[in-house]
Amino acid sequence: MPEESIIKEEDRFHEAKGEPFDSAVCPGCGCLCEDIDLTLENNRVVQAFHACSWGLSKFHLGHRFLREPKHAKLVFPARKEPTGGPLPVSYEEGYEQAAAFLLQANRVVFFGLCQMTFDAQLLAISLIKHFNATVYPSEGMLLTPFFKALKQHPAGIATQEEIRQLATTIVFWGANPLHSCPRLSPRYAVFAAGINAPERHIARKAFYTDPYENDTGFFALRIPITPENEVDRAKELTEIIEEGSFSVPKELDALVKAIESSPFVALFVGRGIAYSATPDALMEALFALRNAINQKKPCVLLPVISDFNAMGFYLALIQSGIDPAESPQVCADLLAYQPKKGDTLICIGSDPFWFFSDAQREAIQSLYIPVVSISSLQNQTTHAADLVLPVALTGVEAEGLAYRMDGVPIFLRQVIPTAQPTDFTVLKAIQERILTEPSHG
Amino acid sequence: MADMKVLDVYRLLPRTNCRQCGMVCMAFASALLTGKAKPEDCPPFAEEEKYAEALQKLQEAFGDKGEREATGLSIDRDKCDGCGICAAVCEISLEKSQELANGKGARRFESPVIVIVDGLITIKNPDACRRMVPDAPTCNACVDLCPSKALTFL
Repeated sequence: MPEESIIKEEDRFHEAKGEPFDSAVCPGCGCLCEDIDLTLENNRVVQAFHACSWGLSKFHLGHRFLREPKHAKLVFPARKEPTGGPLPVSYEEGYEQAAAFLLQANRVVFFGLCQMTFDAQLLAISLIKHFNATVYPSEGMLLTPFFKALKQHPAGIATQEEIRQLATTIVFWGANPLHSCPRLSPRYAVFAAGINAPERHIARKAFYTDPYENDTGFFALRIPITPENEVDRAKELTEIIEEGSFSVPKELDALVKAIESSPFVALFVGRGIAYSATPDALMEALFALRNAINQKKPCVLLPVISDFNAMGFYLALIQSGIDPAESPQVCADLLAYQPKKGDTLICIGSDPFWFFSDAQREAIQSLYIPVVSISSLQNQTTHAADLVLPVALTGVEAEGLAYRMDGVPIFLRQVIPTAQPTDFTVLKAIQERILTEPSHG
Repeated sequence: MADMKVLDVYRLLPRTNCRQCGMVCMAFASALLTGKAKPEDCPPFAEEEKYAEALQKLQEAFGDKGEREATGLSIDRDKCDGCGICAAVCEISLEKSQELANGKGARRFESPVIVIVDGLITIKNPDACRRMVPDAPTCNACVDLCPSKALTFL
């Protein structure tokens, strides 16, 4: 053994003893990685193979943005006491209270809905339709403009597996895959071998747009943009691709050459488009770019989604007859929400209070707007809510269907048991109470 | 240790340029960083009491105290996000795991060099690492492409 070769004992592999649970699906992000091997002991995950730190947190019933998984599971249903503290209630009392809050509302406003099963999303949408409610999906900043542009420029989208096999030019526009979907680049977009890229990242060219250098720069070339010139940059690129040009700007030169020489191009668009001065116009320009490339070679445009079933929610909207591109009920920007007296907020699998401005939080409090939180984990919203209904964490404590970021349906299995109801069960119980309420017309 | 620069190491050395180790102190600092020397190879360190504290610091950073023994890969667990790029670019791991080559995680029965366990890079098969083969070509793929800068070769 060479003397200079050293490795710390803690970095060596040690297999935990316990019961194997292989090929679990990770509810950490929109990648829905289906290759997670777990070891269980006493109905607890004691070792997880291949999950990134985000996914690992979920399997430890914690928040995904914490490096060290920390148990954050809600334990019992509770309503807020007049003093502000939580008062435990039964689920039955909780369902009655939630139905009462919804029935008394002049306007019902839904938040989140992107981290729950597809069946529960369909049920939530039936409530949205029943109350003619407004909805702020947690991925609305990205997916509402995406579906608006998709309606104008309809085209099929490729699966991640097709992208891995065929794409040799990858562009992350307003997306940092390392922070929104950590395993996207090693599994599909850059580092995995494919038919057109047997040498993996060496055979691919990757680019990212950003005003500043970031860690994507380790494997991708930066296309500098600013929030003001981003749309023009996309249009400029489209013109060059469409018409050809002898004077390609220096910053776009490598990208144009890569697109021209590539048999298949994949554009990934992320939440960064929300920082653009005009997100809708930018999405429109990116779809026009995709169309221009498509005239010459296959090109797909996919959203990079952090919430594991955000795509499922938008598909559920369409399936339920609500057009996310047209419906005024589906809003994109949570900060645009203006609290009104008579509102009732229902937050499902999300933490809007983390994003709300101080003015929004103060208005919700001063107008006595009831807040119902249906959540697996503790967060700022469950802390502020008037009623908290804990539910099983999908993909860990409960099974159900979800749609990957490319629209592929994947069934999440239950890994460990729980006594808590699923989000579907809770919504169904609330719906039954609403429909049987005699005073409700 | 991963953040130590050659000047940081040099400042802990006697800086007498006595050449008892066969080189000047700056070269010795560089040799420590590249794993070509150990702190104990500096005779004044062993002989003079006033260097005891500095020696201890360097031994903690570079010394072989029985807790390390293979590959030379140093992992900063606070920085690792478990994205798995290191495993995906490790040629030997890809040879040892068909699943990894297809963009998935290696199966339990496979023995790639690197595997992501509990959200962190873990060395499963250090003996297969290219750097363990005698006269091996220098391979830095996992270090060079780690976006979190969590990896260093000593």
